[in-house]
Amino acid sequence: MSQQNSPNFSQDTVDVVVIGTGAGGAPLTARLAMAGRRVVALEAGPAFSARSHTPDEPAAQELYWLHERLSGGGTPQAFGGNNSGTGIGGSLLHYGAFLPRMDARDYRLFSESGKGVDWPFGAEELQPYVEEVERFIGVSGPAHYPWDADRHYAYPPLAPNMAALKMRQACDNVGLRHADGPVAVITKDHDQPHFGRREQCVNCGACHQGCRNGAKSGVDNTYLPLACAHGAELRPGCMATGFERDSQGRITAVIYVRNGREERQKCRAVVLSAGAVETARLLLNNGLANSSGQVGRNYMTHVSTQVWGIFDEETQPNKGYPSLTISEDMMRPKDADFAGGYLLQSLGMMPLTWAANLVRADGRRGEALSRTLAAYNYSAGIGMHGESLPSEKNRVTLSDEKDAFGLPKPRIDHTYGPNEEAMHHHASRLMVKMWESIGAKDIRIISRAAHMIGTCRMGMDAGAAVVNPYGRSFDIDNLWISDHSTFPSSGAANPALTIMALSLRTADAMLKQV
Amino acid sequence: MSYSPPPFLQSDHVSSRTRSILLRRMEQEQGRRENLSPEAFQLLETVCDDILPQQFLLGDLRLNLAVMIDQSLAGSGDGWRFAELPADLQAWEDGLTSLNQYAQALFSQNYTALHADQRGVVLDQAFDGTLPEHDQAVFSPEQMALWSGDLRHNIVSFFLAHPVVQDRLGISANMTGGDHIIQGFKADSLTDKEGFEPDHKRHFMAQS
Repeated sequence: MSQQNSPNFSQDTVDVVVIGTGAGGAPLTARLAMAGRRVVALEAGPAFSARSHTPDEPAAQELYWLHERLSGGGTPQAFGGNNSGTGIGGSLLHYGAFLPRMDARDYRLFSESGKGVDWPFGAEELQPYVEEVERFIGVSGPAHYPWDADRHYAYPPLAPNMAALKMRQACDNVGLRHADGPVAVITKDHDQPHFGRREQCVNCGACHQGCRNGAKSGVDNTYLPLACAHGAELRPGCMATGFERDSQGRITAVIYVRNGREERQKCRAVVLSAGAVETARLLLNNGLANSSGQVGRNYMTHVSTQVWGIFDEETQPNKGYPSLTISEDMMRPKDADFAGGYLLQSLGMMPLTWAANLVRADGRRGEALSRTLAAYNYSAGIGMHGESLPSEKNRVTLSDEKDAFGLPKPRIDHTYGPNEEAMHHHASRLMVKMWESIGAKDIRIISRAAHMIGTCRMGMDAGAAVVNPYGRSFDIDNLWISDHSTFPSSGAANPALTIMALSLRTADAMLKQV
Repeated sequence: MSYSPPPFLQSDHVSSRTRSILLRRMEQEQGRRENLSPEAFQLLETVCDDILPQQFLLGDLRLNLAVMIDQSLAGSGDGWRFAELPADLQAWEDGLTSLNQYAQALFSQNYTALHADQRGVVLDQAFDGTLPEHDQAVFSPEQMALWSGDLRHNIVSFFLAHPVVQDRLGISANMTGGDHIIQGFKADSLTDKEGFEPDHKRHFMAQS
């Protein structure tokens, strides 16, 4: 997005510097600016033009966070797509826009199961913010949502592609309820305040490569234009590296690198919205806000196993919204041998992503692999997102290697525990059964983890959490965190909606104090 | 081998930027080795053919996937790597060197001198992490398993990223819309092909 009549606060002491312009930073930036606060949002990446996004998958990697991470542990996670992004708008530039609400039971997992942790508040606390986000950014969904009779979506559902139709049929066969999923994609043209015309979805299928016509509801076409209209400054190309502090330890300026030169922005408060890895890395590298010893700990993902199969008729997986059909029936399966639950969704996919997932999980080679690639246009999948419990083993630390900024590269250790393994096997059995029930051939199970969650846990106890339930650091009272790093547990839902809702709630808390 | 750009590149359903990216990729595939050592590169050419034989899909045309991979190794990477592997270019050099060392350990010959089924054993054991412990090998069996995932990932990614392959497999993923009108795909044709999409149909059961 472009910013017209942008203010330049670089010589001033602003009220707030926000580091990161994605789901965590953008709603809060808008809220604070609307309340008259002077806000600068620093973004490490560039300002992309939506029209210039390309469906070419290698080129679309420009939307990913490309500063190298070291992935370790027993289940090392693949980064790049489907977790962290760069550019004005953050990861929402490439997110899949699947926007389920976090299940109320997931806020109370420890009380329910004795595993994981409870959030310091329940779903009812976040509900008004969740609804506000959905209303403002634009979400499509069914007229009647089977798992929540009170829910309403502003836009009618997207057109189903073949994968969505196949999953409907499979759900019917095995007795699962299904619906068109809540999707942050608009199905009617809309004049977005302070942005302009957003066109309805044209089923191009390239959500993960960047939406070119404004149909996908990110923050580049919603909260950030709102923020700019109320005087916020977005400053792209600025990699935050450190802080200046006064004698009381309060932050007085953010140090960042722009065009190879170090600059500083004086401020009265700071919000970290850089994501589970970068927020933790910045704090660890500066030795800040870590009296609890919890910074970087309890890194979580979602168990995101996929099952793929090949059908007799063409499925054309690149066409249409990729993952329309949802089932929430597995949020608490009766025969579960694990805590928490998982969501199911249909899967179309762009070809390189599809093939890359396949070959990392499946040892086929030679003509068997050639034949499999030839079957792209006959493939369809089902996927799941499930609870991943916090674990001592899983964390972000600083490696000994330095990046181009001279900062230590982050190392992320990730290993599935028994709960994740049990959930993976449960979901695999179900999804295979579903695909068998509709005659899929060459059914393959792909074990994978998606999303990034945790590393700066919120809680009530300063000795066991990094921030309080509003995102404020226990150690530094003008430092706040607004992103998925504060999640005490992962829940099953894709995290974007919860991140945005928390962002508005943190902004409201800040307005009482900043 | 020279070949013409596939017809879909001229469609007004492809943006100018996407078209130029794909044309540039075709030029890149015609390029030369720039980063790997000559020995490692030569071995990579054989490994590419072993993992993904192209004749079944492309007939007489053979894309130089090794060149495409080699040229990608000079860049800053894709944002992550396995912590247990060195930086990308070194990892590829080490992985390929190790492939020969494990071939020697298993069959007393370098990889390229082996029969196809023996090469398959080396590749399968590398992927599964079941290669025998070998003190002299640069990579451990565990590292070979990680690098084998990267190897296969890059081979299939560069193959499918090539516009000629997309044309031959009937893939319309890059035809999301033009510069001025972003046409997308018609809601009522998501389960059918539209006239502008590449019309080749290849089913996995079809014989070459």
